[in-house]
Amino acid sequence: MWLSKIMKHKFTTAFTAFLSISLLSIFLYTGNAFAKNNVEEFTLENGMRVIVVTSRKVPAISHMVWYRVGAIDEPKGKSGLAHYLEHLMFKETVKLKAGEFSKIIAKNGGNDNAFTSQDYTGYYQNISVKHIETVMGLESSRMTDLNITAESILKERDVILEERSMRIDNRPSAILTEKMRKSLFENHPYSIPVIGWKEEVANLEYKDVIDFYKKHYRPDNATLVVSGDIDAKTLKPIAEKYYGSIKIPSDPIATRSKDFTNLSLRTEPTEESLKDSRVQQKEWIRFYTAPSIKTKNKDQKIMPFVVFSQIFGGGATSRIYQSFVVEDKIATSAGSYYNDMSYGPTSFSFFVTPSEKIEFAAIEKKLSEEISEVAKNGVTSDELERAKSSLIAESIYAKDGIRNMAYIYGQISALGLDIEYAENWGKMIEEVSSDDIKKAAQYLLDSKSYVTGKLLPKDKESK
Amino acid sequence: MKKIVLFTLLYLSALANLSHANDIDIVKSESANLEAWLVEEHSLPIISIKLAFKKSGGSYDPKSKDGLAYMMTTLMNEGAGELKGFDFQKELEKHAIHMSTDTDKDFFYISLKTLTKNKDKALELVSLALTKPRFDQDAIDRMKKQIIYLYKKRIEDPKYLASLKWNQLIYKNHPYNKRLHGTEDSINSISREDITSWFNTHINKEYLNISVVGDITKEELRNDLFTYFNDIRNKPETDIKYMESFEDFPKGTKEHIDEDNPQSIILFGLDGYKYNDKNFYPAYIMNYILGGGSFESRLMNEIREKRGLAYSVYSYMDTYEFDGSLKGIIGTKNESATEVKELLKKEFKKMLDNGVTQEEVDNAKKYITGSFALGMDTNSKLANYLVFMQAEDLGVHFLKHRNEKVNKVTLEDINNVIKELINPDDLIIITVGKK
Repeated sequence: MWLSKIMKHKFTTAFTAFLSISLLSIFLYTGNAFAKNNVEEFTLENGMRVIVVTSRKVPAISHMVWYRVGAIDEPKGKSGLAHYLEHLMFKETVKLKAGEFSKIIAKNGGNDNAFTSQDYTGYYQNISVKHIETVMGLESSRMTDLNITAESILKERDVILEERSMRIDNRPSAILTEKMRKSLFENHPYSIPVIGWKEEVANLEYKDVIDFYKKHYRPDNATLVVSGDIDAKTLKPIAEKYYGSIKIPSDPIATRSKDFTNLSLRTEPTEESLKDSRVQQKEWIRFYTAPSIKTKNKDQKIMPFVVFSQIFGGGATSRIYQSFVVEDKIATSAGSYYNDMSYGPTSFSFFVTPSEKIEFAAIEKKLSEEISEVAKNGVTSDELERAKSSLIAESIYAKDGIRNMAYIYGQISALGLDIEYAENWGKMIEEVSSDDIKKAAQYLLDSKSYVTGKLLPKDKESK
Repeated sequence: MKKIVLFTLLYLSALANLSHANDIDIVKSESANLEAWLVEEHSLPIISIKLAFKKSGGSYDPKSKDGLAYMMTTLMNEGAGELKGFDFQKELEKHAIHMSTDTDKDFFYISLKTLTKNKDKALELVSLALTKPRFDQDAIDRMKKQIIYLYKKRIEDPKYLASLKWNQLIYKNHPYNKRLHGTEDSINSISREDITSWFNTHINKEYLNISVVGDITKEELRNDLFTYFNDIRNKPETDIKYMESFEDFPKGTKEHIDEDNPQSIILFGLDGYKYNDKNFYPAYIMNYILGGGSFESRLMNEIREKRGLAYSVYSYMDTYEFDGSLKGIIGTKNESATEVKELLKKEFKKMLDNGVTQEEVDNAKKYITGSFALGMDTNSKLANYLVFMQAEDLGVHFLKHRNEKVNKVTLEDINNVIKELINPDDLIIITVGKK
């Protein structure tokens, strides 16, 4: 549903892994019982930030470069440009032919890929640590020496239109959520899908891509994150050699308008519905705008939303699963989702599949009763303990493998947060009280900034 | 751990060049008459456990009860012993234990992930589920509704429709044509008796393979095998016979399913090899060159890179215990579907006529061997691989020898396999989209 938030370059296997990370809002936590994260940070002379996470389990690394540029930075009418450029980064450079980048990685036994979100664009290779200089050489070169032919650009546009069909237009629920985000975020760039509107993508041109590349792809707008069998002492000299030698362009770095954090959002509730012959089962969805880690005001806390979502709609033990599905049997599934890691405002979402013959109105009534109940009486200490325990454990599970940590720190860097944010995450979760959760529930109750989505089957012969 | 997932993993993945190749211990509990494969890994305070029950996948579902094994996957955390479903799940959540279940055509799986400090609680809960499941009627009713809901979601997906059609065309009366996720009718027909009977038949020590990776010692595991798994039924109530190997792979069938989508999904394939066939690795390397190898592959190059006709183009060796095939999927706009199918056949013909080159083979081997270990960088992924090795009877030293097996394959081996396998006229093609 929120799949549209991050687009991936090649295949969907790795893609889902990333999503599950942001879904669970996994962060590292170093409680007393566990060793400190082996994280080190330094900055190169040209302003490029470098974060190293050491984990010696397998002699491999995940090497990532994150650019602080995403769909949010696209000029008006040029939707899909950030993602388009991400695809084109695998085409011709001064030294390489189209497609050669990935071929070299594969020949060295590595996997490579890339992803684009509203807020950032990232490129990565997972590979044996002995090939680290190969990947650094390749990745640092394409920061400045992209040399795409007009022909490559045209062909890749067709590929992206196919990608759009696969992700969105072939899937009614994706079409509906795209419409909902458009209504919810109104004038904010988040109303535009990362992959872009079909008509706009079809009209993107060579110059659009090159201008965007030159403006945003530069060392002082990027972070290098390497996790795995390496430490800062070993990495620093080679990071300096490959990335430190890149010159900063003379133009000042493009800064995002502050307004992006708080552009006018929807102020009155609205509704989007989709009736489609491909739909087999009706579904009910609601998105509220909600503060993110970057847009919260001084008095707001974000972690209560994380914990509230876990208790309220985070699985089989959650409030709404128990009341909608188990007790009242008005739905076959019910859940909520909240992701705090966003440069602009984020959303707090509910997904419900009503049981047969149950009207949407009954779902809406029950949901508001359940939120009111939490706003009034808070949650039990048992609920609070379970939610915290499972959230914090995720931060330990995330340390397994080479890629999760690189992804987590990359996201932190892309949003301009300190690495301590990850270290403190568990502590912030621990501090959430029942009163805090009351306030989070009350925030939703008071809000008129929401969109309700209804997915409906259109009559046709059943299969 | 569906086989498909496993082979993506295999394909993504290797250990020889990356040589923290941990040793596998076989830990035996004589008193419980059980053994487990263990890789000790103490760098993090976490443990992953994988259980695989053979003869228990969806293909063993009783007649007209398609989806029964799949339904069992939803019921394993719905209460056991004194704990009703909600209480059981609260215990899991409170101790941050991940317990998940899955099934494919051949096996029934339970995966467990826990913090070291909660290991005993995790094992206690899974032990309860494997010995004293409740199967409360209200949970059964609820799961039926959810499965039917998911069924309806699944058939919105053109790829799923294509794979159902594939099973029908290929496997016909063979058990591999059973509907893994059931149908509305078959799910509704499942009774509590069917469920307990399935449990008494399939959940037993004879069918069970266990693998463990993480922060636990051999001694601890030996004791735990007895403490937590000894009460599992020793033998099936009635023994299940293995199904017959599937032999009669059809050739050349073409089908079209009409769906009102802008993009057509083209599922294609032909006969392949089982994992334990001597031709498997030659075919695996050949497939990397054909369509398995991402941006190196011929199909990707011809269909996406040269012509921009698709975003997703790939093929893979789909292997099960009793059959193997070569399969692939391409998504292209409806207007290009015919052109893409022509290109596909052309590539198969080119492969048949000219084989592959030494350079292609060398590159494929470099990737397949070099990336093996990357697919096992977490405890859970390694645990998955260990039960796969047990199920396929690969032996405890397989991780060390796997890359040798790949490297030993010659250009001639591959070209022989191509002659046996790759014929464009044999291609089975299922298109889901608008004509």
